[in-house]
Amino acid sequence: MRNTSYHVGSFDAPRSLPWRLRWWGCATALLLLVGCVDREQHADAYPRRPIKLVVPFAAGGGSDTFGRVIQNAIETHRLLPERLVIINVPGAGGTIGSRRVKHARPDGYTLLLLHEGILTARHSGSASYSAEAFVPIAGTGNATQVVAVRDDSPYSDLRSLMREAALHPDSIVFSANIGAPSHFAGLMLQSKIPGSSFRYTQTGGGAKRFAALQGGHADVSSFSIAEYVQFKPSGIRALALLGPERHADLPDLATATEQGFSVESQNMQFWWAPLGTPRERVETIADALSAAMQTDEVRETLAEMKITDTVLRGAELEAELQQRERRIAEVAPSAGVELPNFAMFALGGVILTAVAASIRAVGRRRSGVPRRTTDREGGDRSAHTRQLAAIGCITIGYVITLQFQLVRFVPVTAVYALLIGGILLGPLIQSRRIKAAKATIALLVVSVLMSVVMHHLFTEVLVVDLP
Amino acid sequence: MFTEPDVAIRFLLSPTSLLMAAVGSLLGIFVGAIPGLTGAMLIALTLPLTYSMPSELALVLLVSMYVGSVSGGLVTATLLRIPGTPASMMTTLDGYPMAQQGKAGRALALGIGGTFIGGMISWGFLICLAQPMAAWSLTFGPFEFFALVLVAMVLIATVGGKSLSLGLFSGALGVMIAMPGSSPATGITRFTFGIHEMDDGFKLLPVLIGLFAVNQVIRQVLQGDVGGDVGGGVTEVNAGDKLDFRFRDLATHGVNFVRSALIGTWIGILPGIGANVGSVIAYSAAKRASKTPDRFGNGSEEGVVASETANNATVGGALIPLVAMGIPGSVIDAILLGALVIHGLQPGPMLVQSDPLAVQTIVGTMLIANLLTLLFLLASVRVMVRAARVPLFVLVPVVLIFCVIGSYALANRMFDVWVMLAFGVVGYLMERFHIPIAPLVIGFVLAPIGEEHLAAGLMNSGGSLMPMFTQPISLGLSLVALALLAWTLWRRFNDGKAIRLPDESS
Repeated sequence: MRNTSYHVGSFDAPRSLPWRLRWWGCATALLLLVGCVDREQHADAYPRRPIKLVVPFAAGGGSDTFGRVIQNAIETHRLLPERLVIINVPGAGGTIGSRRVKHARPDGYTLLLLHEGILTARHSGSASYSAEAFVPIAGTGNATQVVAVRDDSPYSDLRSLMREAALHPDSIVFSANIGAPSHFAGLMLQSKIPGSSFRYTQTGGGAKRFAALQGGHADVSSFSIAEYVQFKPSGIRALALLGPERHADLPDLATATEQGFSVESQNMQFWWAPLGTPRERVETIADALSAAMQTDEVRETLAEMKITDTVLRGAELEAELQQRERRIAEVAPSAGVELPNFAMFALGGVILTAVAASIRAVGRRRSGVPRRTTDREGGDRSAHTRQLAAIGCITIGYVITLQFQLVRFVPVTAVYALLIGGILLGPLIQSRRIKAAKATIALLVVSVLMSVVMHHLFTEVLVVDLP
Repeated sequence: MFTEPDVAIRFLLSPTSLLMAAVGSLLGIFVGAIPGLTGAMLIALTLPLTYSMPSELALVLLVSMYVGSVSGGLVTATLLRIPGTPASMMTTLDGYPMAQQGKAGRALALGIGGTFIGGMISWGFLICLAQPMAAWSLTFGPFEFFALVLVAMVLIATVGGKSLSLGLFSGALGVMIAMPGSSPATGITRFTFGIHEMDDGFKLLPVLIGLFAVNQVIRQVLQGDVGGDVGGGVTEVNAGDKLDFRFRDLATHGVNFVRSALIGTWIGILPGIGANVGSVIAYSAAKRASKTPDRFGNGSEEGVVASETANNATVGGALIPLVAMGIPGSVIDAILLGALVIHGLQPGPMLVQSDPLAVQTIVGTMLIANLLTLLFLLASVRVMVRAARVPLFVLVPVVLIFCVIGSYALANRMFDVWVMLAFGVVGYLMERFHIPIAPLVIGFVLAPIGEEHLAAGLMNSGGSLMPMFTQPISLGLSLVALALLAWTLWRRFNDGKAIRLPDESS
C-alpha cells in the first residue's frame, strides 16, 4: 500500500462489544429462522420437481444447442410434468460435468447429456471411467462426419488419399481436434491400411479446421455434415462420408464403405443417469425424449443442423454403445510428436525472473535507495486489519455454507450482506459520522433486495444452479 | 454486400427492431458493468429465447448485446477499479487513477469517446474490407499465431511499469498459473496434484475478479476509505464528474484513436484472440508511442483511450470473418454462428448471396447499437458516477456477493469461487510488494493461446521449429519481437536511471 492513499481518517477505530454482539445476535437469529424452514418433501411420484440436465460444455455450443432444442420441445408439448433445466458445467473436455453427475444422487433428478466424448475420454487419458459408470437413457440424433480436402487437392477420392498415406506415412497433415471425433475419424481410416498414418495437428473446432485447410496449413480434415455444407462453397471438397449409407443432403458423396474402407464415424448425443437410478424413472425420461424427437419443430431444427433424428433406447442402445466403444478402443491414439514440456519452461521462467528480481532488490537496497515505508500512521491500521480479518472469516464461512448447502441461498446471502455491512458500519455510527437508524435501514433493505433479486436473476433469467 | 439496402434500412428503422436494439444494448451495458457476468454468458442464455423470433430480429438483439457488453465494463473499471468484463482490464490501470485524481468525468468521457470511435472505425472496415481481410487472415498458420503471441509477450515487459525484472517475474507467474489443467495442445491434464477440480485449471474470470475486485475490496477496507455518506456529502469524486470531452481531443488523441482502432480490428479478425488481447496490445503500443510513457498506469488519458478504443474495435473486427467466411473470430461470434444455423441461415461465404438481409442486418445493427450504446452511456453515466459515492458498508457486501456468485455461475461450481478468493489475496500481496498485476494477467491470457499454436505448429512440422523462420509473416513478426526486446533492454540500461518512472501500484 502506498502513501498516496486518499485516506479519510476521521473515524475512531475501537468498537465497543455491544455493537458487534447486537449484529451477531440478530444475524444468527435470522439465519436459524430461515434455515429451519423447508427442505424437500418426500416424493414417490416422479418427477415432483424440476430435473437438472447437466450439459458438460459451455452455453451456446453444439451440445448445448441440441439439449435446448429438446428441452424446448419437452416444455411446449408438456411431455414431462416438471421443467427440464439445463445446467452448463463446462471444462476439461466434458469430464468436469460428467464427474458431477457420476457422483450425484441416483434419484433421476440429475441427468447428463454427453456425446462420444464419454467413450473417448478414457482412451485419450482425460478420465478413468467411461460409459459403464452411468445408466444410459437414450441415444438421440446422429451427426455423420465427412473427410474433406481443399478444392485444389491432388486427391480425388479416399483411395488415392489412403494410398499416399501408406506410401509416405506421416507426411499428410491431418487437422483435428485431438481426442474428439475428428481425430478418431483419421485414426480409424489409417487403421484400415497397415503402415499408413497421418500427421495429426491440434487445430480445434470445425471453423478452425476449415481455416487450416483453406490457409494451406493442413491437407485433410474431417467435418460434420453441417460444417461441410457450410464451408463447401468457399473451396473444400469431400472425399467420403463416414456413415452407413449416403446422406440425403449429399447424394453424390460415396461412403467410405463403398470405397472399400469400412469406417463409420458419427457423433451421437447420449443421455445418462447416475448408476443406480430406478429403472422406471429412466424409462419416464426415455419416453419423454422419444416423444420430443418426434415433434415437428425438433425434426425441422435437426434437419437444419443436418443431424439424423435417430432415437435408440433399451437393448438397441446397449448394442450401439458397445459397438462404438469397440471401434474407439481399437484405434486408441498413439503418441505423436514429442512436445516440449511447456509447464517446466514456465516454472523455469518463474524461478529465473524471481532470482533476477531479488538480485535487483538487494542491489537497490545496498546502493542506498531508501526502502519505502509502506505503513501509514499506525493508529487505526490495526483496527482496519481486524475489520478485514472479520470480513475474510465471514466470507469464508459464507462460501463454505454455500459449498455444503447448509442453508439456502437467499437467507445466507442476506445474513452475509448484513454482517459485512454491519462490520463496516459500526465504527461509522460510533464516530457519529452518520445516523444509525437511517444507515441500518439502508443496509437491511440492500441485503434483502440483494439476496432475493440475485437469486431471481441467476436462477430464473440466467438458469444457474445456485448452491 | 448491399444489393437491396433499402429493405434492410426499412427493417432496421422499424420500431420493433429499434426497440430490440435498445433492449439489447442496454442489457449488454449492464451485464458488461457487473463483474462476473460476461457478454458471452448473456448472449448464450438469450439465444433460446430467440427461437420463436424472426431470424433478423434475433440477430438485431444478439448483435446489439454484443456491442453493449464490451462497452459496459468501462464504467466500473474507471470508478471502482473493477473490470466489469475482461476486455476493460487495461482501463482500470489508468481510468481509476484518473478518478482518484478527481477526473472521473474526464476518464469516462474519453472512454466513451474511444468506445464509439473504435466501434465506428471497425464498422468501416466491416463494410469495406470484410472479404479481402478475412481471406488474408487465413494465411495465418500456427507459427504465425505463435509469433504474434511472442510479440504480445514482449510487449508485456513494457506494461510492467517501474521494474523490468518484477514485470517479467509477474508475466512468468501468469504463464505458470495458466499451466495446470488440461493442456490446450493434447488435452492431457497436468499439474493438478490429483485434484479433479483442477482438471480444467484456473479460468480467466475467477482469476480476474479475484485480482481486481477482491483485491480492491481489501485495499479499501485497509485504507479505511469509507466512501460517501448516505445521502451525499463528502466524496472523492468531485469536480470531475462532468463529462468532459472536447473536440480538441480528436486532434490530440487522433493518432491514438486510429492506431488503437486498427490494432483492435486486426486482433478481432484473428480467430481465437479476443477483445482483452486487443486492448492489451493497443495499450502497450500507445505507451511505446507516447511522449509521456511514465504517466501510463498513473492516470494517463492515452491509456484509457487506447484500451477502450481497441476493445470495441475488436467487435467489428471479429464480425468480419463471421460475415465474410462463416468463421467466428471470438467466443461470442461462435455463439452468433450457432444462432444463424438455428434460424435456418447457412453461415459461410455464400451467406452474402443467399441471405443478404441477414448480413445487412448484422452490419446495420452494429452501427445502430454503437449509436445507442453511446447514447445510453452518456445518459446513464451521471447515475453511475454516483456509484463511487455509495458508502462502503453497502458497496462491499454487494461487490463481494457479485464476485462469489459471478465466479460460481461461470461453470456452476464452487471451486471457481475459492480460486477467486485466493487470487484476491494474491493480488493484494503482489501490490503490497510492488509487483505489477497487469503482466500476470497478460501472461495468463496469452500462455494457452501461444502454447496451443506452438504445439500445433510443431505437430504440423514434425517437431521442427524451422518453419517459424522460413515463412515470411512469422519471420517478420519474430524479428519485430526480437527488435522490441532488444530496444527495451537497451533503453532500460541506458537511460533507465535518468527517468524515474513513478510506481504503478495504488
